[in-house]
Amino acid sequence: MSEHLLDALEAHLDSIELRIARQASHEAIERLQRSYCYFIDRGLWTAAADLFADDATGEWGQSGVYKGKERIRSYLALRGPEGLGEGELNTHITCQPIITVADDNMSAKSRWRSDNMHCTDGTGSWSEGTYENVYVNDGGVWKTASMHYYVTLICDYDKGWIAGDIPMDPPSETLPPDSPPTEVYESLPGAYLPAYHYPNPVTGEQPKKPDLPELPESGKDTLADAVAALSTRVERLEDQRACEKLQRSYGFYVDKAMWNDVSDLFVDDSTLEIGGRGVFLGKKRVLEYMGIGLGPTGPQREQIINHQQFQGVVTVAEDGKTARGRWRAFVIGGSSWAPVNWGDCLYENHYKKVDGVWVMDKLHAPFTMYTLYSDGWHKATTPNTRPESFPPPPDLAPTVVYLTYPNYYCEPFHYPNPVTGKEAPPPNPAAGGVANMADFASEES
Amino acid sequence: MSAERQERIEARIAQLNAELQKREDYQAIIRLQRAYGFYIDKGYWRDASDLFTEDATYEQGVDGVFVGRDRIHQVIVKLSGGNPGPGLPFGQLYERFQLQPVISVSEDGQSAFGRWHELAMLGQYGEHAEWGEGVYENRYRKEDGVWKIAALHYFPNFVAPYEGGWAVLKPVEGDWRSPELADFPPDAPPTVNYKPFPDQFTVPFHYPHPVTGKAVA
Repeated sequence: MSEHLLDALEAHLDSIELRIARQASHEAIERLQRSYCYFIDRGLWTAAADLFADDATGEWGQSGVYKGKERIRSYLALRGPEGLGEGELNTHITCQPIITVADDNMSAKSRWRSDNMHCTDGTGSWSEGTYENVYVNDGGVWKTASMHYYVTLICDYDKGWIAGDIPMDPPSETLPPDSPPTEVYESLPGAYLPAYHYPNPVTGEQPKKPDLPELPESGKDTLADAVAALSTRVERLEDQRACEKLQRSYGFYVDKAMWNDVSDLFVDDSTLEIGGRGVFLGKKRVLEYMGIGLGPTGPQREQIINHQQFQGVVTVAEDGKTARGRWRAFVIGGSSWAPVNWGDCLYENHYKKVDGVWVMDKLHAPFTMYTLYSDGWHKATTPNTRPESFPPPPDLAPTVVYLTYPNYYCEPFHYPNPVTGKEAPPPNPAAGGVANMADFASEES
Repeated sequence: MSAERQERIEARIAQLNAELQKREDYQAIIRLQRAYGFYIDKGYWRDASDLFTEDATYEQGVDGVFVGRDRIHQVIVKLSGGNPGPGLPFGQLYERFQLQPVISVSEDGQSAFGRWHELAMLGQYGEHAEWGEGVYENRYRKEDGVWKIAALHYFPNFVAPYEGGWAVLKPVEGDWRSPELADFPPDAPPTVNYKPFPDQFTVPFHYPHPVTGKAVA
């Protein structure tokens, strides 16, 4: 075997090794942030602080900045002794990560959110916010180098957001921070846009691809084929993460009414279909759907439109050119001039790779349930939207007509059962009705 | 010289292949549990129970341990209200979000643990609505190259009425087993006894602290 070919194979392996290591770093960072919230949930302040680097910084809402692991621990422990007392609730459910690992795998940045449920002195509340964090690879162990949690809302459970907004705490007087807040803002009814650490995944600068020597074409050399196969497998993982980033970015942009950034995730032959409004063709119409139908661009005071993107099952095609994704959106919506609601929505989306960049091909979002915060889903539900529900009208009629909760609709699964490999059967004919479903059950049920 | 280099390259390919397999396993297990959630929320009980190994266990709260895929299918049906599916009857909401995975794959790549957070929206239209919250500590096993759920253990922290929410919950007294399973005894008693919110319980962590490497709580 020529030295020239061996050089080429080694160069490719070096690159693949780094790409796999960066995937492992994604996992380690996911573990760090998710563990942070699992620890905070239980009042395990020391374990939470131990996730930080010695010289890390922490900033929560308007707390100001705490410098160093010990100070971070003391700040977290302002809430009380280790462990929660009876009747205290401090649940933090953290989701929707966008993780950007540096090319050299030594540092990383991320954006997350968490939905939080609290109870203190017999009073319940909800809160939600965005993290922009920095991590450092300290000799193979990833640690949190800085955590900045931006509060979007805190509200009284009984009154809900808009009616029951609770302001953020000012900096502590018992344990003053090491420096004042780096950004002064107001949670709901205020509207604030925490800066994104990453550019728009479609129109922004793309990650650099290493310049590697060419390998012999497929079938000419066994080792070269093995290296190429490894590279393709890593690429499929990268493709999956790119599609996840696309979908999660969609949610973060919708949250803040960033309609231009939303439509930039689509291309000219993409489609969008949300609820029962029908099909909008192309990026320009996506922008109209958002801008004309959903209000002015940019975050608005006294309004919240969180579209939280959870639970993605992304399937990348073997050739790496297309992908599908099933997701849910957990919606926190409302304003001082429009209904205040909870929403729950499903997605079965198509993605495609155009010139090496993953874009939204078809966004298809059937609603599951929308309800008024004041009532709850057992008392009040909002029917599905229709083409004429609000302007602008669609380009094409809805591809599927269905009713939202309390009715039943199951958008077909794009993937076969992960274990049996079989397609899911259609629903029982009695699903969504009051007839006894057992009378209509099939073998497959 | 060239032969030695070639051998080193072959060894590296084998090692990177193993590393990459771990990354793929991580994703496959997350997909498995998320798929479970997407079956459950639409009443696809058979597809959900097909994700388990033949000898899997299912344990929720203090309901005890149910052993085997068929028993798991039955218990999933009973806990959701008894309809055979696939689908839900008019007015039932059974959204159980599967969130916040911490997945640990064993060194040999044949088994794994996963911690998850569940946020649930439950209820029956015209009657009642509830928020649910809890933590899973599950085990997974790879059989013939396919990841399956080997043990599902859900620790509900609460199911709270929409009116008033979790703040109105009172400590449970005595037996708090699921009434839907009153005529369906488990195969073994609960492996963990605890009380839900407003009592306090930390679901044991399957993994050591990510930075210190020490056991947590």
